Amino acid sequence: MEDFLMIGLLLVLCATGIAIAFMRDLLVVAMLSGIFSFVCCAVFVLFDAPDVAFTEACVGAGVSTVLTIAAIRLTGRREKREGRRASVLGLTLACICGLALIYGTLELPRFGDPRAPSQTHVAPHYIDRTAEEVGVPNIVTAVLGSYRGYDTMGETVVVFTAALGVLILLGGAQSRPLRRGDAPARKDQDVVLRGIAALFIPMTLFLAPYVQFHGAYSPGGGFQAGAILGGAMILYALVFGIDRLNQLVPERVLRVIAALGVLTYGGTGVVTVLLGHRFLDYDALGARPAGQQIGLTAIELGVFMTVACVMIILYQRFASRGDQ
Amino acid sequence: MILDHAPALVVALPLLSAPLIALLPRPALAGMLTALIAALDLALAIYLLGPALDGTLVSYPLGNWLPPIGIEYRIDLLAAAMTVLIAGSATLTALMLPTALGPEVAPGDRPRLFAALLLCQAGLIGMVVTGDLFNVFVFLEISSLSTYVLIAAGAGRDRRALTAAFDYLVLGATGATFFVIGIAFLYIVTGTLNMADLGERLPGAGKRAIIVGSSFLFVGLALKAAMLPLHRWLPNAYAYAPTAVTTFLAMTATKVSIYLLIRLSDLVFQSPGELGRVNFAALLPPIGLAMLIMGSVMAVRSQDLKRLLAFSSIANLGLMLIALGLGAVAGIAAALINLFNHAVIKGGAFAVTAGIVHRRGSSSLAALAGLSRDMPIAFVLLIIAGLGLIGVPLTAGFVSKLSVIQIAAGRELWLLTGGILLSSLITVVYVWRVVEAAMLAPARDDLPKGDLHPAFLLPAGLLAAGTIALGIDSAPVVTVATRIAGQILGVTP
Amino acid sequence: MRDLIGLFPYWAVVVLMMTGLYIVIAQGNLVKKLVGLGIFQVSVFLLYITAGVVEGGTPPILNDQFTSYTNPLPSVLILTAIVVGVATLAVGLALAVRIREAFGTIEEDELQPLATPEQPAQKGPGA
Repeated sequence: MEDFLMIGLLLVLCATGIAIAFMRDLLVVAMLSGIFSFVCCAVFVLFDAPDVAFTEACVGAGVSTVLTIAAIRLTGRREKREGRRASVLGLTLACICGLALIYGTLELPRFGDPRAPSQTHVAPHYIDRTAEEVGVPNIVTAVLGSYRGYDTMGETVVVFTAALGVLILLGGAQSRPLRRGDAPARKDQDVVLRGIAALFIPMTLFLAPYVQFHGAYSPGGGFQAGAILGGAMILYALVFGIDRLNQLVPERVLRVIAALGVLTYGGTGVVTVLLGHRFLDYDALGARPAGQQIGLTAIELGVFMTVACVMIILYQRFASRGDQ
Repeated sequence: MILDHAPALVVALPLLSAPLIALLPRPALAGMLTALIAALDLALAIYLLGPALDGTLVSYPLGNWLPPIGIEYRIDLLAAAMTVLIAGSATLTALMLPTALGPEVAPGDRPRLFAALLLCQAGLIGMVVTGDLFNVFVFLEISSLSTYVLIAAGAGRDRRALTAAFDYLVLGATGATFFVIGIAFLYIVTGTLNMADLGERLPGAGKRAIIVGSSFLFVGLALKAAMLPLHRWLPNAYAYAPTAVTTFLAMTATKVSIYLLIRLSDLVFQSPGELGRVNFAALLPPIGLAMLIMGSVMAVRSQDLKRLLAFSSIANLGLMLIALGLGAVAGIAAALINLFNHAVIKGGAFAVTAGIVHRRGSSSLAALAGLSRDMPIAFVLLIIAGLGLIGVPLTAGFVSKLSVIQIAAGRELWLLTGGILLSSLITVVYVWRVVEAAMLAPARDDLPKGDLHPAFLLPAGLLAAGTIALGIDSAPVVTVATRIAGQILGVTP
Repeated sequence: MRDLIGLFPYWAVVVLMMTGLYIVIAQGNLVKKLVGLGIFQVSVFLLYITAGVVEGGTPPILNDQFTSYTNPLPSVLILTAIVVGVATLAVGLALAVRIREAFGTIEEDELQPLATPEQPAQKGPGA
């Protein structure tokens, strides 16, 4: 049964991918890429990776699609007919790479094999020792925040760098933060839309902290919570107007909080160094597993702050471009 | 004491100061702080060089989780030397950047660009000191994203900076994805991401998966190293980015990819030049030779100084790849000698160009008219860099080219030897074109007078002095390079 | 049959990767290229997760009822990679918007003649 579901979903993915290649209307392409992401989520859930599915849904399907549509609004909706020469080259290269990959997969461990090297080396340590070393049931959170916490710090910095880049690129001639009146108070008058938004936004605002703090016990964590909060604010701006969002959370506040998020994460590391331990060694904050959990909470908070603010900044910059 | 944590701090310092600097409202303060932090980082890097020169390998497990459970930083002589190079380049660039950005960047954006420079520095150093393969990817993305932004800042002067940045983004992201595919195959058949651990477990793992994995890793790195035919992004990126940014990129970005090639051969595949069971070393000399000739010829055809220097960089990268492909202690040492010397020479060339662009507003050869008369210091420094590129004795370039020619001639590879000598001749042609434009072209009265601004004088002067100093006394670089090559091959030189 | 089902997920993922790669190389519209890049990247994530599956396992959240868990490490790596992918997409889209404003088009074949080295330098319109 599960096998058929897996085959079906993967075939839907292939079909969506090929459709995207052929579509010329970029809005349809954006929608299809959102569908692609959502079906990927389903596959991730099927493959027992709920944290990844969660993140792909919030960040991949949610934010990516919104940003793509915001960009299409500025760059044009239709694509031109492509040149023939490029497609032959592209097809050839893709075929060569594809065949090489298939050749490589012939020797990979059988799908689902519990004795595969990736299941018997490093991974058992995480599974067996997380309970006593880190003390949280969600092993993925433990690995993400503690064992490989340094990678996650780098990831948070990447998010911040993206915001930095978009602020520079779409900064406006004087490059000052958006203020009241900069973006037209374009609100939607549709009653149904406003009603549903009025319902959803508060609910989402409750969901975000839940996902954040319960991320140690169930799928969730800083990235997903930040993306959810960012998404709620984007919905608010879409329905009630960017101007209202700017009044609620001015951009200069968002920029400060985004920076503070990175500094919270890195600051935890600096604190551990000052306390005489290695960088990001949570044992400095207390005996295991309490110290680990304090560290995890601190860094997840940093991640949440940065991701939420960056998502809102990104959307605002794209959505208010071209109106000045 | 706190310096025990230098391995982590050398990355954390620029990484965590960047958000703070991005928030500062006053560009002047941001600029000074950036230079200060880059210099502090250089001090940390030099501190790390100490134990490395003594022969100790510093291993720093982040979060105190031992590898392969956690991520470790492994600093040997190669890593320490690269760190000093990157931190030094960043410091010199940070000295030039505030003045160089000038009217093309809005004042509000300047703190953010300084922050982007620090992030790029942190990303590159992070790639160099880590012993975990996925960590390389994360910091690769940090440095890449900040690079795209830094290149695009040139749009204030020339809108083609935007297309250059976009092309680099698409190619870079594709290359990074190929890199991740390579990591996937290696991880699936070994179960670990730690490079040293991978090296131990690979011999027992499935052959085809390793071949495919290492091929994809190689292609990903080839893109970042601007290897033919994936070099198209480099001339545009170097030509249209703000010249101070180009100085930084020319000194570091492609060099780090060469570093990764060496490191992956050493640690993960344990046979230099052979990524996996595919002998990539055999591919490198032909590709390198093609780059050497093509780069030199295209440089002759360029009408713009930055573009000319960019093609010259491609030629020199070709030389490094030839040396790497020749293998053995001599080959790897020659590649490293070329790497460091070229960083110094080319950095000097671009630093002077930055000063010229700042004063004259353009880097086209036509804008250089009257340089010898109105900007004599700039002219002299440019000549020194040019001599270094040709490989005139008493410059660092001579040492670099000689080291490769010695190996090629010693193995009776006359095609390679001939190619290198030919490229030197072609280099004379394009350096002469620059001299001709600067000295012999009739001076124009519409160009601003005035020599290099002090902000450019120090970096350009230092690098030019280095070009000559390393030519006169090449012993430090050669000894260190030979020691590193010995370490990598596991033999005492 | 079992073996074929065992390889099918990997092959489907390869097809997806190549579709994404094809769109990046062959299609001229800059925004479409970025979407193709996204597809390429998500397919690579699928590759990792496919490799982490354990038959009869359960998501890696400790629970007394279960003994066999899926590999947590690919999930961690992919979480990082998803966020990196979105960051790259955001910067790419911002660049595409600026290119549209500076050149008037985001089709590669129309941009080529406008961006050759022989053209004189033209400032982009203000950021």
